[in-house]
Amino acid sequence: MAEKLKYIDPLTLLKLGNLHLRARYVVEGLISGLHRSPFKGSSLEFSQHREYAPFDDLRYLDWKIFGRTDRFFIKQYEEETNLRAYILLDSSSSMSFKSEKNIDKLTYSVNLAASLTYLLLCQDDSVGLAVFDKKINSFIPPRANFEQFSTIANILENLKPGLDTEIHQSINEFSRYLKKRGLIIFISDLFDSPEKVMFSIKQLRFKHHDVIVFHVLDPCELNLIYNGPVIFESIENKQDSVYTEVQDIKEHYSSLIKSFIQEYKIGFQNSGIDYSLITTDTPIELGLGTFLASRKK
Amino acid sequence: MGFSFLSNLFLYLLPLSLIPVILHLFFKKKPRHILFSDIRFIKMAARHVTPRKNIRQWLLLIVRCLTLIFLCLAFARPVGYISGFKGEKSNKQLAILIDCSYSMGYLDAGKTRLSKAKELAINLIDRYSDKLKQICVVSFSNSVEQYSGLTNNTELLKKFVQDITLTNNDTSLIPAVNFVYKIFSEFQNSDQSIVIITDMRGNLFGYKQKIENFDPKVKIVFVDVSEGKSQNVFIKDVSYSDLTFTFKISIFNSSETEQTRTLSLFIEDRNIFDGLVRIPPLKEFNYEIKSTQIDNDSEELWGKVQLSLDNLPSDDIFYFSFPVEGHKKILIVDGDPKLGFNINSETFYLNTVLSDKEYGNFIIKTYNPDEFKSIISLEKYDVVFLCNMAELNENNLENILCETIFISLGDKVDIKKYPDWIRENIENLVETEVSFSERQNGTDIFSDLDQFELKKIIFYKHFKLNNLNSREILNFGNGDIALIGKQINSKNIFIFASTIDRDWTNFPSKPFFPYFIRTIAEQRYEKQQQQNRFILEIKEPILYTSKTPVRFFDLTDPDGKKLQPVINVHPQETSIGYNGTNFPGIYELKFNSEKGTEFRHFAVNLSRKTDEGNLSKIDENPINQIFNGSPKTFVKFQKSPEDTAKEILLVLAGRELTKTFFTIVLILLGIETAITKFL
Repeated sequence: MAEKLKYIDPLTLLKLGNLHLRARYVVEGLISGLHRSPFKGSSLEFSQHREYAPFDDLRYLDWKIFGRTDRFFIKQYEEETNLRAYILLDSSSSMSFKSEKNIDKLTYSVNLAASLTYLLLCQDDSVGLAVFDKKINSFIPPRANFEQFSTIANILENLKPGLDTEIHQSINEFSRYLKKRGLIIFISDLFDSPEKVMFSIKQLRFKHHDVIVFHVLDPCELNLIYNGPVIFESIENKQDSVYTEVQDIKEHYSSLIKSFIQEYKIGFQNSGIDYSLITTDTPIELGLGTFLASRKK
Repeated sequence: MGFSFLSNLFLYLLPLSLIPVILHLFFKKKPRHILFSDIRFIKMAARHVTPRKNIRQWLLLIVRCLTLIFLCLAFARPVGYISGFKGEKSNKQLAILIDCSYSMGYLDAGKTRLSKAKELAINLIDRYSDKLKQICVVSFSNSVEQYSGLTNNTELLKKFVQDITLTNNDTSLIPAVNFVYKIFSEFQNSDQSIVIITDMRGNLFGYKQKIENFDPKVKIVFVDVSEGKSQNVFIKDVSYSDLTFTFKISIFNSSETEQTRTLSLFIEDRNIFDGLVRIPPLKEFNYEIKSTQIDNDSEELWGKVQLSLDNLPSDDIFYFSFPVEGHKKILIVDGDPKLGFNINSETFYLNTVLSDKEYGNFIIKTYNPDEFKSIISLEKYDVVFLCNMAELNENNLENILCETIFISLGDKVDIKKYPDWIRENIENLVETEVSFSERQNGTDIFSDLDQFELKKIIFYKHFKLNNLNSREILNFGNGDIALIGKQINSKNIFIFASTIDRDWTNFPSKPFFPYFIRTIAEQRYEKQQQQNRFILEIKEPILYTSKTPVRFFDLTDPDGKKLQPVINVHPQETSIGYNGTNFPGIYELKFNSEKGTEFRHFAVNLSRKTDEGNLSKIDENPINQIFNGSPKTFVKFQKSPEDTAKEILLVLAGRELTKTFFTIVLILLGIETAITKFL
């Protein structure tokens, strides 16, 4: 709880202007919290010298050349992108579920995706986005410039819940877009057949992609918070419904959903896939923290 | 089990027991509709939990309803009665009916069933005296024997019960029940019960099957005093044929195992036969005793047939008294004697059939037609056979002293010389080959025609007969009449269409012929037997009619005690009657006639009509039909009369069950807790 207080809760985060601002807030807040600069990496490699021109950044002046030749030369670096990241975002209708006092899973996932994009772009990694429900609905190939954030943010901000989920089918379709090895960040509630989903994601892993799975669930999906008689209707198919007294099934439901999560957790761990369960009441920074922690390995 | 309640007001709270149902049905929470991301786990959980939960809910609902019902009933103070014997009214009458028919004399472990019934009745009177206001005791057999009157004086009732004795009658419950219903009908708005103490034998209701004053409100308790399976053998009937000197004794075994008994025949006081008989279970067995020791000149034959005595001794003796006709006198008049009575004459064939000692005892005289005409004063004959007579004189026929005349025809017959009342039935001679019809429909005297091959009896010639003023008895196959019968001047007249020698037929050589002739010859005997009855049942009046003048009557019962008969003297006959044959045995009538002092013996037996000795049990079905609508219960006699009386008391007076009901409420509450916690 003490840890949570350091971060801004997702509901408050939504009030912080546009997606750009929110992502920046999250990422920079996270970085300052971590006391470790993401820019201290060796992501730039020397390419050539060129003569200094007015308004060039003095930080890139090669003082050794100046000492030898008494002329100003600027060090030019070749941009090196060693990471191609793809964010694979589930926009199926089940992602639109939200319980009281929480944001819906899709909004949470959009913010998480935006923050990740921002973070990765800050690291000069190239980032791409694929949004799917039954199939891939939008695909942005990875790029490393900051205009990419605007492109991605534009799609994310206008994202609406789609149709039923066919995760394995969408992953299979997505894998056709992959040309090189990269990092695949998978954000979904994973409400599909665990066997099929794991099989598809494991296929990505076998193709030597790094895969991180963010399993986004509403707290209410973990523990039913309702009471009394309820008719539950499926968001994806409203004809499908069930009548029950919630207090009677609560216990059994919890054990079922736990074993569902456990199945994913064990399945992914065994295949070297990072798995992270996030509920929509968790600050997004914590989600990013998980991501960074996994990248440190 | 029936109930009544001491605090009825609480029963108005019974609808409260529906509260759980009402809450369950009408106050159900309206379900919320919630759109949920994935309902498969909810479905799985519901499938897992719901069936058990439904059972639990229904169980709880039932238990809660029952708890409230029993709580209301407990406060209403229930009283339980067996088979709906409610006792709400304060005014009560109890009738105790004690069966004293002779089957109640059956010995169970050395004690008669009647004595057990009496002990039970006394116990019942003692125990009920506080609770029931009025009790009456009725002893019954086939009618009401004794009635104590309705009273609450227990000493008087007990004394009355002690004085009840066994009767010699069979059982018929209905008159006694009718009697009690009539007494009960005088009391309005009253709790009335009848306790019937009987051996519950098969024919409990006797001949009558309907109650006249039936009241369905009256409660009936049947108490069966019999113990275990009864074993009884009894003599059902005895008959005697004075033609063959044979006693035919019908013995019935009502037990489920084969029984062996000694059988003795006494003629007057002489034991003339002893033998061992085995009777199969639940069967009637006919035993024949043929005797040559019987005095043929006696006019009656009386005595008794006795089985070795068993647990019900009264029906092991059968008294009999048969009139003995002595030798039958037959006259044969042969119109065509054919050089004496040669082998093909009617006389020969009739003599052959009638003189067989194995089947009859006849004195036969044979006349030729001239002898028949010349006799002015004839002897009295039983049967006169007139065969192939050329002529028949009307005066001759009128003067003949006989009961039966059999006329057979033949070639000598001149119909014109026959009296009109014979001629009117005889038409022309028919020379066609015919046989007896196999389908005889008019016969009233030949009962065993089926065993004969009638079709093989051929007639080559016969006279055509008609049935004017007569009845058809036998027919030919072509529809012609073979034998007619008519009544003329109190005589039985039979006219046969053909000959009874072999001139026109092969009839005399066929097996049907002896049966045909003997049946005709025995006609008079059967008629005579119907006039005076010498074998009677208990309570049946003695009635004797004599056509000759008689005087100085003396009637004594089996113990030799003189009785007072009623005598009616008419110019042509004298009749003697006596009502009061209350004991089985031989009743002797002594009187003087022209012949001197004569005796007639009347055998009085226990009633056999309803098979009182058959002790097999009655079904509940006829009882339910007769007492349809009445609350009734059946109580078996326990080891002691006290235990039985207690059980009857429980049936009649009931038991307060408030504590039991509260206990049930507590148990139900415990069950509810258990369901809530553990299910």
